[in-house]
Amino acid sequence: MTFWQSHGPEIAWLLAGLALITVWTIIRRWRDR
Amino acid sequence: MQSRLFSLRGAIYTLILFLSAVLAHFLACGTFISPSRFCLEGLFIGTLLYFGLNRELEGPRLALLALVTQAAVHVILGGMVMNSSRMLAWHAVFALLSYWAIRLSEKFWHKGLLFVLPINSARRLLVSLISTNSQPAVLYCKKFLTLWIDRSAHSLRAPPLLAV
Repeated sequence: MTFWQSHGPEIAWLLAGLALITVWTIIRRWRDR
Repeated sequence: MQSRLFSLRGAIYTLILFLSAVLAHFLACGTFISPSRFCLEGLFIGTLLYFGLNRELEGPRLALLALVTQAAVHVILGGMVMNSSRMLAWHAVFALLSYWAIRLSEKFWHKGLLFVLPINSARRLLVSLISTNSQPAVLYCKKFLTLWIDRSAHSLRAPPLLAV
């Protein structure tokens, strides 16, 4: 099993979370400007 | 008092984040590779909070903290051994729960009594404690002092026998 096969889901989970937080931050800054 | 308050706040948040992440890992049947990693994890969360506590924790900052904590517990405590959708789901659920718990806790630290007690009774209590002008005893003291100052100012100008 390669690294991406075994750890792909959790890295994807982390990246998805970070992407959500980034979008949230951008929306808040745009709303508060 | 300020620094003591913030260290207590930091300790509570560290505990909330740490316990929620460990519980998520435990519920998803994750393995814990060594006890010494617990200390490392606690230190990691404490350091994160030390730099993040200078402002109110809310919104994306708090969400980032919860996410990083969950990921760190999975990596540091579990050594990335078990990666199932169940594990990821539990970590996501507990990230949301710790976010919610800290959000409530922040409201408590910032609003204090007003958050704990119902609004009306808290206001009444605060008014009775802070604005002492409305208290009858205070009004009486004020009246007495004003009279006494007035009397002192105008008395003893004559020889003692004639003073009122």
